[in-house]
Amino acid sequence: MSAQPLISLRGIGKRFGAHQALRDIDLDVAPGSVLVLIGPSGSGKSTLIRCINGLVRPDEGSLTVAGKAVDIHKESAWQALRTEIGMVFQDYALFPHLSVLRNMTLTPQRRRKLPRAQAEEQARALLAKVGLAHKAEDYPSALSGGQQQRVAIVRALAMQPKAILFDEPTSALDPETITGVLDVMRDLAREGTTMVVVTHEMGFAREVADRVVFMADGQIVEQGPPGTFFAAPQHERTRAFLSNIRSFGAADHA
Amino acid sequence: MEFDLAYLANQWPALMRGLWLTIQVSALSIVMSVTVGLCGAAIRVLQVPVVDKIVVGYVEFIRNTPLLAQLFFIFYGLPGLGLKLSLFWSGVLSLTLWAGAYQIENIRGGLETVGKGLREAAFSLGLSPWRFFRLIAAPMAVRVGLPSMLNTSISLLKNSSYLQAIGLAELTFVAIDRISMDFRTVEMFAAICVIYLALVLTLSFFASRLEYRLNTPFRT
Amino acid sequence: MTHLHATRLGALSTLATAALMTAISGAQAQSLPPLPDSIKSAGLLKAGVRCDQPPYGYKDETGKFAGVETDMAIQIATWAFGSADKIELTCVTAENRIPQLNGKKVDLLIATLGVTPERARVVDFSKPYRWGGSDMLVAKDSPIKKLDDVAGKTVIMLKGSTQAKWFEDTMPKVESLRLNTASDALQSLKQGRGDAYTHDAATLIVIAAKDPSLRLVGESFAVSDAAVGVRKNEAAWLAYVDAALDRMKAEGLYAKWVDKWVPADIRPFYTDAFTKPKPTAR
Repeated sequence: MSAQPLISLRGIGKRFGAHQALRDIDLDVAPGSVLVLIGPSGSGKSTLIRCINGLVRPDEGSLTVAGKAVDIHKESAWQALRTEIGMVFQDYALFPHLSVLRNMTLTPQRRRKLPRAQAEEQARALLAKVGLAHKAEDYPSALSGGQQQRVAIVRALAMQPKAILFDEPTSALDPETITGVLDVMRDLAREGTTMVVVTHEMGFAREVADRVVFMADGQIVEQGPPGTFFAAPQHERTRAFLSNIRSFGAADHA
Repeated sequence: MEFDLAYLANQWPALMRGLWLTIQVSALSIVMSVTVGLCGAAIRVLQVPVVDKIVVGYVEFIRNTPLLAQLFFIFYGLPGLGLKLSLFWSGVLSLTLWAGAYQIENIRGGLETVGKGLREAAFSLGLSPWRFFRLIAAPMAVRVGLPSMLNTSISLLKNSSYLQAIGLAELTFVAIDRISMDFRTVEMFAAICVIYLALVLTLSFFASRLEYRLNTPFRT
Repeated sequence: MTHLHATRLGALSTLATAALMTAISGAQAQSLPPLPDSIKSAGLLKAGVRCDQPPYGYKDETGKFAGVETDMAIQIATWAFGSADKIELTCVTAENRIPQLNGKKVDLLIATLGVTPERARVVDFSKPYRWGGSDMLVAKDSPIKKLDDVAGKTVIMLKGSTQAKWFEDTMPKVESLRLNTASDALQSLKQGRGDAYTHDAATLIVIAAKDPSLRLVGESFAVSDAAVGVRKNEAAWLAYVDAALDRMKAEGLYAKWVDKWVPADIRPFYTDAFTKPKPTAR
């Protein structure tokens, strides 16, 4: 990789009690690239993605974002970092007591100190972009799962982050609403948004990812560009995982 | 003895003065006890070291001792420890501490319905734990906990009648004081029961309005 | 037992009783009127007495009912039911004593109950058995030297007490702090929550004698008779109580009880209250 990575992890380890969730992870994410993390459940994907913004605090290792080292033992450092790295969750996690618009203006007003009018203007523009301008005044409970997830994505975007982390963004969705969410993510990738995506959507990975990383037992087993990764996986575990996914045809919607 | 309405009309100004004091003490104590509840629940949920143990102890102490004993402790006991509060503030403090313990539990119950997902989402947007609590968790917890918080507030209102024991001239005091001089037991107790009932119904009415408003996001 | 035996025994016991009566009472022998059925049917006397008013009615160190008025109640039970054990004593306070009586929790009150027109409207009073004045207790170094000095100050008193009524009628400008028990009042005075504590002089004398940090103002006011209270429309019971009070006086029991319950140094005040006529005061 030629350019300096936007996000760089070195020797990241995390232990939950007796369970070693992550072991000596090195990972680089180039600016403007899409990195897809795949692996069986319990492999540590979700833990790893949370180590990038400190929702799970790594025990050891180092993290560099945009050339700046993050003090992984300091909560304030994590809080500052989180305004620069957005995150989208499996269960959307919109604040149910706030309108769609308020969900999107809350942190820009509080953390980016945007004036209310400007924050709302930006929010409406983002909502329009994902086809939900008419839902601005509604409460989350009035939206379908797919609509809520699109709001969650633009809510993260409203902070103008340097990168966005996606933790299985389509796993909780009905099949018919998945497409809309994946379309939005595809658009973001096209616009050059740096993304780290944990997903089971192999179609999406094949089509959009710049690099695919396969994890098992808290370690990175294999990684590469999607073309070679899917065509010629090197490791036995990768092959087993991919053939499982294919035979179930599970999440191959895109 | 007949029910003497003229007597009640005569005593009405005194009863209204008592009512006004009851309202002042109760309103202040309700606001302060909800504040105590929010702070205590935050401390418990955020597991602030050491302090959360103190909160647990406080809640247990209040819930397992009689209110009257707490009241006498504050009014007669604290001066011995160098803190002499007026009648009014002794009353407010005892009701606040009493109801605060219950409000902590009410709000904590509400907080438990705020899932880990929302916490992660708030943190991922750069909110501090405190802001998460204030902007997200507390409003949601209050919505869920509102019925039980209302119950506690109603109990507080009714328990303000205990303050007659330290001589605070609230509604019950006025009644008992007049009865002890005029012996119009039936008239007086009937009157204050009706007044308390009206107070509680008013409080419930405002609480249901608040509940309706807080529930707006959840009606589709 | 045969009929013959019964008659003979009955005659014997009548004889014995007559002899005994002659022996103990001589010329003073006083017979009490018949005990009304409403009282008799309970099988014991339900009496309301004070529990915080030494030397009239209080509880001693072991928690037992004590005091002159308590002894009066026990004496009536003894005469009425033949045994000092046939009594159920209830602690009453200034504010709850009349409700306790009219709510039939007790059948009489011997509870520092002063005779007032308001009370006479709701209960019947026996003949007075003593008089009682009011006084004030203040801190030793208090500037209050006489009754009028409390104008504009806070006076602690008990709800429903004679003094509460008196201050309301006579000195309405005085701030009052009205509490439920004498111990609450005393505590509040010592904590400075009021400038003076007014109550029956008889009660305050005991406290002042025991506590050198306090002083009696010494101006008597609101002197009233104390009487036994019974419910309205119980004439037969009232007559019985009146007769019992007469008999106590005739047998010199009051002086005996005052000796029993009051320390020698403050005894004259109480002896006067039970035996001398009521003095005049504001």
